[in-house]
Amino acid sequence: MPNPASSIFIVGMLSLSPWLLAQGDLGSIDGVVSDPDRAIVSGAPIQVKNVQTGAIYKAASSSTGNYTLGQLPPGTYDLFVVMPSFATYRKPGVVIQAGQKLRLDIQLEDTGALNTLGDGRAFFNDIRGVHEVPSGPAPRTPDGRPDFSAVWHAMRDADPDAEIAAEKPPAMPWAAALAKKRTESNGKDSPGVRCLPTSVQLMSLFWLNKVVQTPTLLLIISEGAVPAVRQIFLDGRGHPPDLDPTWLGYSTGKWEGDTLVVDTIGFNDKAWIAPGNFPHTEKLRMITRIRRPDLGHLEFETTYEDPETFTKPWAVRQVADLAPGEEIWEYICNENNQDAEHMVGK
Amino acid sequence: MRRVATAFVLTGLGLALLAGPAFAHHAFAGQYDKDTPIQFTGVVTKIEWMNPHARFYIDIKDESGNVTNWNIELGPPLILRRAGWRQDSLKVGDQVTVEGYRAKDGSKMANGRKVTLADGRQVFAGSTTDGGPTP
Repeated sequence: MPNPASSIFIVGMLSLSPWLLAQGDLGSIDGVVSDPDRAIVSGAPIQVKNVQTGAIYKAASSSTGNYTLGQLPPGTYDLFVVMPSFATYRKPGVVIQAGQKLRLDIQLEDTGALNTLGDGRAFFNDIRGVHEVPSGPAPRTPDGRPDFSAVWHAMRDADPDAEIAAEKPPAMPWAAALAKKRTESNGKDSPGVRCLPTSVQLMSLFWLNKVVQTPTLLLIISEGAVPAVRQIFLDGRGHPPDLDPTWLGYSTGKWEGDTLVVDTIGFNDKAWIAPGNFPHTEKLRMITRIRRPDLGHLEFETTYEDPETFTKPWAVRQVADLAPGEEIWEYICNENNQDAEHMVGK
Repeated sequence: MRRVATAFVLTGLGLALLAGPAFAHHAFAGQYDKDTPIQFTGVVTKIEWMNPHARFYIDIKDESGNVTNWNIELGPPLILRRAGWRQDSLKVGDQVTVEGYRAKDGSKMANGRKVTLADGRQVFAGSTTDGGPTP
């Protein structure tokens, strides 16, 4: 948990002289953070971004749920609370006048999982939170390559501030409109609802993953994914010239120093691109650069190139934390899937 | 292999930023209505410790004595298992009080947000890292 309200940072932009104001001119925001059941939430990271200067100020809710963002120059702010266990809270356009003390209580909402037992806040915190990992250098294989083999937590955002720094993905209007529709309907038509592959990225965003590395083949086994196994050929082969389009395409990998560059083509257009629920076409090429910078982390930079979906390549940076002592288990999605016929959507 | 000309228009993208529903198999919010909370007490008639979601069924008796069987949906067995729960953590014949949200399509279904046994113990709560069943 972040340190309580003591942690108020000013991240950059302090050199902007207009904002070096007298103490009395500065404003503040304070309030209480609660969950959908109105219980106190401690350790919630509250961030505001000054629309005019880009300066970011941070605080965290205390054990009593209280937070204070002090020392705020007058201006307009976008406020965010990003926690894996709750839906992201955002309140744009909060105006602070000189010397104003604004009271703003924050009630967080559940993710689309509605805090269901076994798929609730605790689950999301476990699977998408930042984990403590052992320190040390990345292990190496006998041939000197970094060894990615291990059980890994689900991929999470590489940059915890990404939510407030990000711009819109460069989606074409049709793709942006479809992604919006999919999101607004709570993923009703996601292939995953029918136990088909949900999204195209190499590792799961919601389940543990086991990586098995050999000199000629990298296997990624994603618990809960359909199919569970992803093959990445490292034996120097190229893509077959006559690929039939498939859900997850055909992946080849090549080392560039300590980075494995995985090139995947041959997709059909049925799976989604997980961040944002974007569609793609058969022209999708997915380049994934994988690094293990240390023992405890596996970094992914995934670039989606699809000239019929995006106006330019779209890169997403994610990281997976080592999951020592964990093992992955069988998951046969179609065993008793009753949900598809009951998905209403919005 | 060519190094793609990466346009870092978006670094470390968050799912929630794009308001993408967060779901592994499906979003409960697409099936259950958070504006229609339910709470009722009944007797467990069946347990399905199966994928993609564990379920149990309970008979609810109304004031007129009519009995309705409800289907209560949980997360996947392997996640519940990591939190320390097993397929016999709840048994046929147990009396339970269930809190959740009712299905949007009017089915006799609900998601389980809190399941309490007659003696006050909660089942299926807790996280995968807090060491097991919550007393």
